Amino acid sequence: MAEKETIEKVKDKQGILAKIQNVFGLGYATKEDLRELDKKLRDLYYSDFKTLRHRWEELYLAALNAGKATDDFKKVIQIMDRIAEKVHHADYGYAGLMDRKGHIRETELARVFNYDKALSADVETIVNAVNELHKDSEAENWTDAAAKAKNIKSLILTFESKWDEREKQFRSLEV
Amino acid sequence: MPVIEKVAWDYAGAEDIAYRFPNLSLKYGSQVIVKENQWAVFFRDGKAYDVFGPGRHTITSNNIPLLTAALKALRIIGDIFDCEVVFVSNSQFRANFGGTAYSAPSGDIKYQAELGFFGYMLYKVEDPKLFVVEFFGNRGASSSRDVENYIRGFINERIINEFGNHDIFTVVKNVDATTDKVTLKISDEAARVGLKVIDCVFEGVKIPEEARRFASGMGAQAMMMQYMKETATELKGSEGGGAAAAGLGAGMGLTMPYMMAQQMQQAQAGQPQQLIICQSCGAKNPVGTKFCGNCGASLAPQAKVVCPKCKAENPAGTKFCGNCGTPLAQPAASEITCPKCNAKNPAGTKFCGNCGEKLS
Repeated sequence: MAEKETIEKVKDKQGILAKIQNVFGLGYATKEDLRELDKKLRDLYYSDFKTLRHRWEELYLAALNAGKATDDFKKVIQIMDRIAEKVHHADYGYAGLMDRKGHIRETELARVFNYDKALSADVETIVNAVNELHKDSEAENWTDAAAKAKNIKSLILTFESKWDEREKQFRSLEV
Repeated sequence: MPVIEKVAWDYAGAEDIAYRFPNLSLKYGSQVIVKENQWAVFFRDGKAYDVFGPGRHTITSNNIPLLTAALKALRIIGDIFDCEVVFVSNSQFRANFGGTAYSAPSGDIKYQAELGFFGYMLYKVEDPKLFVVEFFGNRGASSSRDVENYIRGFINERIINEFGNHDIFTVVKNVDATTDKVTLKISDEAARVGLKVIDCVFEGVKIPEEARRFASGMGAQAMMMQYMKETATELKGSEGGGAAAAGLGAGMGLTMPYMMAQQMQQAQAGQPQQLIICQSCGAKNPVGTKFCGNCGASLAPQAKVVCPKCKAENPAGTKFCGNCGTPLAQPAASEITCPKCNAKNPAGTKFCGNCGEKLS
């Protein structure tokens, strides 16, 4: 199972203190490591979105100056901001808080981490699409700009809907 | 100095963008609690060592390796060390702005409108370390008001610059694009101190009444006259003016009617002229002329014959109805011939339209 592999990899990199903590804390150190790993991954995505925003700002300004900016250009910035903050402040997956029933164990946290990791392909697709349009803007080629901006908007929205599904990974509906 | 067990910025106000805990004495194992919308930047000896994100952080060598290394290098092997912690808010803040700008010159007299504008900008801290070092640290600033004061200049400058590119005919149409441009242009300025501009919103653009009249075209001529009058007055009053200025003023006065007439002609030329087509030869004549300039035929509206079947109106003299084809009866005495000059006059007229002879 993919979750098991992830847990094993995390355990392999743990030091002696974490191993002791695992024994006395019933796997607490592994869970903490998985959460921190996921946080680190989310920070990387957030950083990608920050870079993308700056690139998009340049692109949008060039489009405005060329009189080629459409409504989608502003929409992309707004959606990008929203998703970046969603990624940045996403749930950590803490166990048994509030009205959650039961514990969130290593398997659930590993599943969430794997889910987040799989989204890197989507982030890469968005980055490539923005870079392509940015190159076009630098070459003053605005022929397909409106269509490309629309496509980028839909790519980001697809990413957002996938990200919103993330919550379900904490507690799978599979019985 | 008491040793602090726990550090947290619990009482952040709505306008507090950052808060400095001065000269803390922390020990290994002290807790630093950073809320989800905060960062904590650690300083020691004037150096920013680490930035903590949201969460509970225990001061150990794992959390601040650089600090620990520094302490070890200095052989300060104690459990307690002094430091400064600056908490920075990650929330959105609002900065108001407003000012006066001029539109691009427009029209014949290159009229520039004095435009008032006001609105707000949304921003947040993007790079806490840069913000603390570049902005917060040196200025002793603490609230969003301080940031607002700092940013306002950039915004106003960009807006003035942007409005200067549009004449008053287009300035209001381009408000949305203008705010977007301002947002994007000042984002680099803001990024210099670790801020991110989220959006910029105009709450209003004030256009003076005279500019509105000018834009609508109604008062353009009146403004032109006023402008010329003022220019002439200024020239009269200027140094070395005297007779030359007076002459120029007079000259302007003389040319005024000509210019006005020219403008009127241009305005008329711009409008479609109404014409009457002569029924006799088909020549086009301006509205108001009574006889055709080509053949001399009367341009008075012709009598109409109503079709008895379909009630459609047909010009007098037509034999069949243009609508249903029914034969139309001709009036018995549709014309009266003048006994003096033999000119034909419509039935019912009392005097000859040609010589004025009384018609019986």
